[in-house]
Amino acid sequence: MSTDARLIRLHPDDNCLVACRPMRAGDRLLIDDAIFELDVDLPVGHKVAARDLVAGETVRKCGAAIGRTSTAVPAGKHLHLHNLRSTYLAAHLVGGAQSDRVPKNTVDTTTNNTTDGSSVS
Amino acid sequence: MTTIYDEQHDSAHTTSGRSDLTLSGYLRSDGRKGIRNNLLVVYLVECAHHVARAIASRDDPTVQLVGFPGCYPNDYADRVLTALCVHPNVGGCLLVSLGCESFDRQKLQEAVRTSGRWAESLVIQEEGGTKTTIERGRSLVDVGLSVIATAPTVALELSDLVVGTICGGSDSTSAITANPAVGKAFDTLVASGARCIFEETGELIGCEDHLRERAATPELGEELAGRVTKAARYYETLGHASIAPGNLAGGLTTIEEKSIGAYAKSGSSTIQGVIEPGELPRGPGLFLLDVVPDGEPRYGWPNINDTTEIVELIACGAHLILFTTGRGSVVGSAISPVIKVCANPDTYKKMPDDMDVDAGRILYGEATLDEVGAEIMDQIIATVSGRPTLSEALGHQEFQLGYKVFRSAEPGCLA
Repeated sequence: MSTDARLIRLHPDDNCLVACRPMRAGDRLLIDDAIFELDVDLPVGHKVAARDLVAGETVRKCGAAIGRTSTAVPAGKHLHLHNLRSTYLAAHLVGGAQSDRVPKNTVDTTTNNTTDGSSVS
Repeated sequence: MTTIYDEQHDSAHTTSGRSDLTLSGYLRSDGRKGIRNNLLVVYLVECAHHVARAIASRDDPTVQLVGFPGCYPNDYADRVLTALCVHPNVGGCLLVSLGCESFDRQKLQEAVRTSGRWAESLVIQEEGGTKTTIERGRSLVDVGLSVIATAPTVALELSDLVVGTICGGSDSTSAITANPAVGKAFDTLVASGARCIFEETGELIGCEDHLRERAATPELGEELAGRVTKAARYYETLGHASIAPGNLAGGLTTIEEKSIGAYAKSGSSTIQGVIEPGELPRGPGLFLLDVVPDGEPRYGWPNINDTTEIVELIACGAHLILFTTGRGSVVGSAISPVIKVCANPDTYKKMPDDMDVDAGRILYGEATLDEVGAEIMDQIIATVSGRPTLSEALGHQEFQLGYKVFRSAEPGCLA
């Protein structure tokens, strides 16, 4: 089965694919021989579902769990803050804090920067 | 050292044919083998920095400047600087003291001499000030260079190497190309019997379960997870917890996902132990370096910049560093060569003179992860053989050492 060269599957167990080139809303994607139409712009580094995912399903990237879907996500749809949640709970916070540790201001609206910009290496 | 590197290893060879390669290194009296033969000029307090820099300033990239700026004593800095002065890539040291700082110069000089390396020291207040100390220092460096030039060479195998990895200036391509490609090279090195070190527990938050699964023993698994918990608490206290808006714009959704990208540098080998700055891996295999101080934050950020982590990896014996970057870091290091693996193809086009490996080709289907991993191995072999990395050739010798506190003065390597 073939998949679009603009998408990369980082590990055979993954159920998401990562954009390795920028794509536009309306672009057609080939995923395992099936064709899907993108409904949003997809910058490099963003993810789409590799197959239909049910709500609460564990999402795997690089073979590792990176969170759970909060809604059903059909194949080819953008996987991000609107439908994927962290399941991480820091050990020192067990017993008191929330696990959704994403800041409230989730998207940097002041820049189109698609890079990480982290100061920690 | 006989340079056995030749141009045929420069091209995109696979590593499959390297068993017939003969590598050589510098044999130190303590039995360790180096891939460079450097002479360090070491300032023991910031007040001696200028004099030391003037002594080290000469047209010879093997004379390198390192030091510790603090006046108040610090066990961590003492341990790291001592480890650097007896590093296998170092043949000798000239210590430069002001005269009234707290650093135990005599203990350091004794440690360097006990290792069989050349060591001398100068005390500015006793030498008659700046000018005379610089003059005397320059002639002592001449003496030191003539001594270390006689270092014997010896056959060197991949299993003799300690290799560290770090990422800096990461972007959304790092986790897709350069980091997993370095992971492939790490797997090859570990399979060859080398000692490999990955670090920065603050970037492993969310990876605790993976660390447990990859630990050599269940006890080590809990220890690794505990080190990550320490980092999570430390960063949260500093207000640096979780994931930044720029990460989210770059397509990263969760802290687990962000960490998995950095974690990919470690490859897939079993983790044999956890070490702290200045401690050598006690056997072959993969080790986690914990760079986060113990206790409440006292001196600010665990890592002021990438260079502090590179220095810590080298203090753990790293002969060379694999540095992955997306946005484009240019740093190198004193003591050990830095091989730059560029994750982002656009960055590579903009800064080709600084990037040893173009891992971004993976994005365009021009190379696979395995191929770039093999290319990194070829770069390692060329670097061990004496060819300067691009940052070395450009004169990069960054160095920084600050204050930290670790509870264990003599940390145990959990294996």
